Amino acid sequence: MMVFREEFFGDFKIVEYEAFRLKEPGYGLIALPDTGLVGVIGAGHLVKSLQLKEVGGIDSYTYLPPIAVVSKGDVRLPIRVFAGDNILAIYSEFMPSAPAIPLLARAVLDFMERRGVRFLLMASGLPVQNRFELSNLRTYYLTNSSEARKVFEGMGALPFENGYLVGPYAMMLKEALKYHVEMALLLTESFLEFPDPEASARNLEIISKLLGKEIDVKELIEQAEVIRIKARDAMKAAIPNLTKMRKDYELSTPLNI
Amino acid sequence: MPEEEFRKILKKWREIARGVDEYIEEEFKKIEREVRELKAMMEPSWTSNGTLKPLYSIRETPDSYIIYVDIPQADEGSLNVGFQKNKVIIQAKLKKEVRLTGWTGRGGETTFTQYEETITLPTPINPEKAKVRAKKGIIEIRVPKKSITP
Repeated sequence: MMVFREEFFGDFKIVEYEAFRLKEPGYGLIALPDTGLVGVIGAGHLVKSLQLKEVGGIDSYTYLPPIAVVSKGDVRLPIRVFAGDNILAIYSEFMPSAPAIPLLARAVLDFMERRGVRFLLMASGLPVQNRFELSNLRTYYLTNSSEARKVFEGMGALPFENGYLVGPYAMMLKEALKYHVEMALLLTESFLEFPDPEASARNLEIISKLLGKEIDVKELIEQAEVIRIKARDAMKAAIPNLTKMRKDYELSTPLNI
Repeated sequence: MPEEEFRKILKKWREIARGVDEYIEEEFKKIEREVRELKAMMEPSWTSNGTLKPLYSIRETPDSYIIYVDIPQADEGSLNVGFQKNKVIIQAKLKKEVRLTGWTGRGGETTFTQYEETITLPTPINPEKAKVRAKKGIIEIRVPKKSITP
């Protein structure tokens, strides 16, 4: 692992393996383990499809287990940073403990802002109890960008107007309010406790339209069952964290909105 | 002490004792759950003889359990769901052998051929009325709780 640049944000360390520059307008995608691993599976496919390069990583000796990722013979950090063209993607199969997520959010958002990200994009799953019965998955969006809203509505996504969000993306959204970036969160109906590549594919179709880049989801759909086998351990590891974060609040009825 | 007074004290004492019992039972259940979770986290989700352990979730209604089991790539025709007191035993062959290529050593060298899991439920069940459905590599098992006659 070559270290080109290293900086510390509290107990998080961001390492760049090489110099990179994002084209304008910069889009930043954040994928962390959450509902059905929808974000992580989708980001993995996006990185592969758009041939993004691994340019850095994030680590914490306080908040993350002592993990080194070995990829194609290279030692990489547990939270991986990929970049290419105008996209910067933060990808992690490991979740820091809940109290560390706001710190990670600040570190990531600060890093993204300085690297030229102007639009923050997150895509995850919306747990629904009857997912077993559903074939047509609905996608909801939350955005402060009128341009993105048009794209999402054009793709049949519905506004997420009321309800609770719990987990890493909820924290990211709250922290992102302090940064003057446009942002969007896509939530597609999915299983909570099983990897759901179908929901990832639906998110990616919308992201593809927003970015104006072709992301073919055919392979993702075809490989869905194999991905589900591979994703079992990451899913198993995510569940206790989501339980501790009280993910069940997402299914609870708001009393007064 | 008048008998009435003694009865009142005894009743109060029994209420306190019941409360303490319930508290201890709840705390033991919590510890058991945490130990189970910890054990599950440390257990690999596969064995070197080619068996995968599926992900599953359990929902509880007042009179039944609804269990979802994720068995991607399974041959649904080979699915075998067995019941034993408060246990559900699931076995299914994979449609074709699966190798997790790109993973060095460990499970990367294993050829997986089947799923196997035993799910322990909190109370005994009535397997005669159990219903099993499968869709896109996920199975739904609805099994009533055994009614306990006092």
